Amino acid sequence: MKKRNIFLRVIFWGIIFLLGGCIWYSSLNEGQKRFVKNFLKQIPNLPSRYSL
Amino acid sequence: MADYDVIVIGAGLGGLSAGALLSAQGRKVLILEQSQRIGGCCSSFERDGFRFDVGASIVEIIKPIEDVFKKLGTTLQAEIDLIPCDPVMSVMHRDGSNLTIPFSLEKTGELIRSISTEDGRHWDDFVEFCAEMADISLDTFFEMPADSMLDMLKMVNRQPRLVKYLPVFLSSYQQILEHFFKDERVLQCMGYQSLYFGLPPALVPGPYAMIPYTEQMGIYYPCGGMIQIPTALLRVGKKFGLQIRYNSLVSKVIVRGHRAVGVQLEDGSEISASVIVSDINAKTLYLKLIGDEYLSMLSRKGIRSYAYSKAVPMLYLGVDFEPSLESHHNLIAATPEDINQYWWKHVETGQLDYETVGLVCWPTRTDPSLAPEGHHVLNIIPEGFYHLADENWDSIKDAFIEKEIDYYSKFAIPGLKDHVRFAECATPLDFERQLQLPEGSIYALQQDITAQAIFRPAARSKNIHGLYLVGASTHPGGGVPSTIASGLIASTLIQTFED
Repeated sequence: MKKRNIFLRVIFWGIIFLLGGCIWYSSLNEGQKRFVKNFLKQIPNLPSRYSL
Repeated sequence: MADYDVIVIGAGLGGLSAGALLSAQGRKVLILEQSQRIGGCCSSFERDGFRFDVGASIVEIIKPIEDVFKKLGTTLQAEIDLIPCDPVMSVMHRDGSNLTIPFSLEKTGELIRSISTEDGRHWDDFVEFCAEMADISLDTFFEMPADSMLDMLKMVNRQPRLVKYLPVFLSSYQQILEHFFKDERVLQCMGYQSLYFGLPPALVPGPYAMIPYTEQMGIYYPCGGMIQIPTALLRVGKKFGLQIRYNSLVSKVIVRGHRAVGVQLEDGSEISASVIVSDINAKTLYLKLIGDEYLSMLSRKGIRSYAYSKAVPMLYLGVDFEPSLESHHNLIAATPEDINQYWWKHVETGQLDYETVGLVCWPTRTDPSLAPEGHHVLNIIPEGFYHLADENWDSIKDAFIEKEIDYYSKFAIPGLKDHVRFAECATPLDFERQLQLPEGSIYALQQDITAQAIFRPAARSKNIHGLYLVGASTHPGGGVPSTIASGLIASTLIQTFED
């Protein structure tokens, strides 16, 4: 029962976080969206860049 | 026994400052330059009595350069006659009007207040914000390596105020400017400078928004042309025994047991050294001169993940009249949003726009000796890029020169068209061929927030022992002061790790 509660809480806060993120992102102008998009797109490359 | 203690590949500003400093440390240093000229993008050449600058047109943020000459036992002022550029720049509007920015924080504040009272009030806040950020940056990023998290912690330890500015790194150049200024005419004076970092204002990291402030710390032009900076570094280095070989293209860095032990030249000859310093594009170095078999799997992915920085065409004009300009640097007015739109519509699609933002440099305003009497030199940087959608730079070069002269005659420099006595253009393809800049990338690798500091190829290679990087490919990035600072950082690292 306790495990189920934790799981539901994670799902709940995950959805809230995601929704908040979507609302925040949609409020940005094109330039800001591109800055965020470029940053998110490059995140997977950061560990490999750090290794150089 | 190696032939040299250090071999430096490339006589750009990073290679020359590292070479001179390492010679001053008592090492036997050889610089191998693929062309007949030093300086790379910060150089000059002569045609028909006119002296043109290859790329870089002014120098600002001179403290790192002063530091290098101080370490060499001299001073920047003793080696180079730097002429202050006053006014700082003029902003040319398409209706023919000009806005000239004086070399004075107070007078610039007054000018901004005359445009917008509210922005005038915020100018003082902007100055205070940038002054502190510049102070922190000069004490950390321009002096210290940024190879690891530990290096970053050392920076914070030296300048705890750096923590306060961390959110600025997650903002863009445009956001920072628009936080302080709202008036379009004010923003038009500050948008173009983002292109000094090779990206539009929406993508340039926030800390670079201090450029409109650092311009007020002084913009200088070396008497005799930009080549005077590399010439002075070489001259001082030679006093310590620094050697240079021209027309020596390095085709391979010889690696044995994960240690760089020498280089192979294009003619097949080999030269050995205990340390190799590379002042060429990091992608060329790791993927062509070394080979990815020497890199870890992660590093192979890392080096391939970088995009090359932007390229630009350069127009070199010798004219027989005095152009109706007001400053050494003259920008075509553009708000940050205008520059973004240009980037999204043209750079990303490869559609060349002949009538767009640009920069007109008038070096003979500052140093008349660059042209015969009654004549002037104009270096125009019209925006452009390497990949054209439907054309090729070689095939459009002549038409490009003609169209650009027409465009600038129309509203920026009336009469220009009838007074051109010499016209030449270096396209991104020319830069690639002549300066070995892949895709004409003047700042080596793209300089967005994910390719800065610890995420830019390290000054001390993590894959190959005895290999060090200088120049625009490594921290602190592209530009005259940054590349010179990279030489200082590499020489300090070599002194620490190779003795």
